[in-house]
Amino acid sequence: MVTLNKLPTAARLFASAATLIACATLTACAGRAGLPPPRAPLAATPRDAIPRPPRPPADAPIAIDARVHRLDNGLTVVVSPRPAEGLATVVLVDQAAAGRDLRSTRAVTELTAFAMLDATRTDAGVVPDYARHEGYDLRLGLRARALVATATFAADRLDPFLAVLDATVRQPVFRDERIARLLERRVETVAGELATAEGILDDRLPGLLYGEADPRHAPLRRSFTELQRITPRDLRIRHAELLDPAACTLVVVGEVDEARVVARAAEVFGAWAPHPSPPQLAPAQPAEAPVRGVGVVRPLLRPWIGVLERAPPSGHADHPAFLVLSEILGGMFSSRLNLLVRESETLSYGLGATYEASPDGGELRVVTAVDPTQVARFVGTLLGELARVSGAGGGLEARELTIARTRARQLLRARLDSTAGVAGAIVESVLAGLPLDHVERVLARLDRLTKADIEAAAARWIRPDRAPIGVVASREVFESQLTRVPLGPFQVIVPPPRVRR
Amino acid sequence: MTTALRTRAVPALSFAAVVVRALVIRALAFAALGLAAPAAAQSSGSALAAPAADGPIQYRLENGLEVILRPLEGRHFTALGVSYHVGSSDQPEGYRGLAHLTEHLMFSGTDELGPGEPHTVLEAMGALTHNATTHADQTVYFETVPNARLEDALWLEAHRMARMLAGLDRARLERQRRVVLHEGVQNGHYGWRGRAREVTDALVYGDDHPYARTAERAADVNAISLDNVRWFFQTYYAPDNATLVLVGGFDPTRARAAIERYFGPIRRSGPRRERPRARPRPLPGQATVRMEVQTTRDFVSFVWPTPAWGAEGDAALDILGSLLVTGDDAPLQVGLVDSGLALGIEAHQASRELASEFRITALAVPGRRPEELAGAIDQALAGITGFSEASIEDARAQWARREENAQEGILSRATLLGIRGADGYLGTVENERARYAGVDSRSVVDALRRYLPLDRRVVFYGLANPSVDAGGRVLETRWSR
Repeated sequence: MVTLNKLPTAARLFASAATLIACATLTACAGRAGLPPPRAPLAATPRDAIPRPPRPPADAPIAIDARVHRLDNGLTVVVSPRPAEGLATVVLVDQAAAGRDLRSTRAVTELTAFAMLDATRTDAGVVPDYARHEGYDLRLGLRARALVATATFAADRLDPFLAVLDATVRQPVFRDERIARLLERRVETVAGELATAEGILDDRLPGLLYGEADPRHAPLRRSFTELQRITPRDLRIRHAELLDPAACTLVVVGEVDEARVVARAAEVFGAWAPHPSPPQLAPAQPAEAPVRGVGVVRPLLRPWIGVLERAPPSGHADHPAFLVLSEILGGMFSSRLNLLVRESETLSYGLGATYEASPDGGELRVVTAVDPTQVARFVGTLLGELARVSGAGGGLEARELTIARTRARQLLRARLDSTAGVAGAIVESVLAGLPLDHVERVLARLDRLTKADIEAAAARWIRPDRAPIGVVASREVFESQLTRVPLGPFQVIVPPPRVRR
Repeated sequence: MTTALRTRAVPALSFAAVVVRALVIRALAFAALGLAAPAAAQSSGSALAAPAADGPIQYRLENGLEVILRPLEGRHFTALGVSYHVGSSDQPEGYRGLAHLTEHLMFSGTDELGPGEPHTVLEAMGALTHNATTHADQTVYFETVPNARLEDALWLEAHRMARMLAGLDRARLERQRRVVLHEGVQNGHYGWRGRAREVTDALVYGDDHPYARTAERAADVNAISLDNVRWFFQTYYAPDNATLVLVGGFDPTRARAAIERYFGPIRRSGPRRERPRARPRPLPGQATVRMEVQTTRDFVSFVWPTPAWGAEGDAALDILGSLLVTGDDAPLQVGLVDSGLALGIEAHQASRELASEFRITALAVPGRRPEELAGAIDQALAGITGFSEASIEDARAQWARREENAQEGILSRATLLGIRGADGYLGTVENERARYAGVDSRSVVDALRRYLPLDRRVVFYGLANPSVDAGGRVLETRWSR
């Protein structure tokens, strides 16, 4: 670890201005001939030829229509029939398989999920990649509180799919040689991610916000180490802990008959024996980091900068305000930060502010790559705008609030416009222990939010003077740019020049 | 212009995806082409044509604008796409980046809308995804809007088609030039990946083919003038060179009336220009390129020019790409990855209007030479005599499933319908599914032997050298005939 002001000044390998010039002159304009001149008038269509549209009608109402059933063994079935061009989406949510379960590492649970898809014991013997073999694109994803299996397919294939789903999760065959290969690929993937600027930010930033024991800390480097220790036995043990029908919810959305779905679910999943094995959820822990920011030296043409800040969890009263706030900051092109750094000051190709919320917490993240000569200016602009949205120096403007509210509303409405979207919204509610119509309630709340509500929510969560910052950049940028920004305690890491296994 | 939203990092094994970035984007949109007859109903009269067998409604306005409508029951949103049939392959030599810069300027305003205001107008109406992409053959503007705001979106697209040039000035050009240059640096267009693509394209297509000048150059972007953009726009951005597509929950009768109202008055501003649409010549032999690049691992890429989107062999090559690398007994997986030569391998067909490309890329395990990988790929390809019906069925199902997954995505459906296919083919979900039905083991092996000859291709060796210049260094280019 070295501090900013101790970086050797001789290392000017990637002088940012020189890099830009080099880029611009890498290739000459070979064989350039003149183009014909334009014609007058430049626009042949008269200005008033195209009429302005009339005032638009109101949006049609949109809602989740779902009903909950419970099987005798405790498994919950949620069915939401809707027109869907003959499609259905099915999601199995297994809350016995939490990613933050202290009984195992996240890497083991993740690899167990991968391996469950690898081969299945069936009446016809062991079938590799069984779901795919049967024509279903079944995807498994590990969340903090559940393992989630999802597939969308033609609704008339629902009956066989449920049998495939049952066999896949209940009867996986863990083949040692395949697990070794899965491990190898996973290690390679992690190494690849760690070799990129965004991967480095993903790896380092959470450590500034959460303590070592907090499940959200989860640096990629740690999973790299964990993966190298995993044995096939670990996966078999982990799998045995994962199937408790009382902790499972089956969500079915699409062109289906509700009674038939429930009957078929009982037929397939009713035989699952109760097997209580509640996960031991790792507790949240505040950051212990002695620094405000972390920098990683890499010879990049474009420095990458990320800010990560705590934000409200999905069920919190401030959640709707943050949906709007993230749109105002960096939702799309007309967001405040994009108008500033892309359109007005042209410091960057563009940037995104994302707000992700789960029952365990939320995060607001701003990440972008910027002109290497403008890093200090960008950081100043970014922190200034974070301060402004949280009430200091002007707060929110009426027009940006209107646009952001509209976008936040329509993004939520759009989730309810497809089978996969409706299923996803139901799963979020199940995981957070919220009512199934939670999205509709958030929509109603969005309509009532005032400027003061949003500024108050921002003030409660955003700390422009302390928000953790990560930078991946050339040594030159650290020397010439970041020394000019008062960031407080900042750790700069110079990693080995090449990533090797 | 790609979205400003956060994107994921490129994993280590994505050379092919990065080098042929535009192609891959196209491959995603160009999901497939069926050999079946178009399912669309044709209409040029005033009566609304009923969709044939769930196909889209298709007609032309008097000014030449092609319109494709696909109403879907129960959807609350509508995806709108305007495809201009002009892309980076239409850029004259020395103007690489002109198509892309023009695309950006469509968001810079008009004589009624200020700089950046098209974004604001779209976002104020609740447009979810709105953006544009410049491909080799066309430039597509797209957005998904609530049904109630469809007329607003139609107005905006019509208005900027008619009046963008009336508002264009030097300040707008300079601002978007800077944004395009930022994008080029950030996405690696001006680094070794861009250079590798330029070198490869010139060998695959020949210097005089339009596909040889699709790679963007920073120096060219810097040299583009206001008049260059005006000429390009007047030549190609006209209703008779565009396709408007709607997919979603809109009312087709109302939509048709609105389209006539907003797009009907638009007139072409400059003379029409025929686009050179020659198919590339066959390769005369094998070209080999060795280039030092700023990576940490060596790799080898094979590139073959292959049949265009929708031509005979295109679907079989899609399936072949899956069969070569997916599954326990996939020949390249077994021959390279399982044998410990390669960390990973990719094979895919990227389809385009004039010609497609089939690429195989393998990333070397540290200590293995890329020439060893090339030899192993050749050996694996030469050893293929057929594929089991089970694996063919598996690959077919995989492609069919992809269509199923895409079915709910109204925006990808709209984008696909706006792309010109051979012989009037329309990329409906139904046609896309049908495309793979006729592929069997024999047609896949035939496609392999016919289109991927081992002695006529481009072989690119990427030699890892983290300290080489950002643009890489070409060590050797040679032909063996």
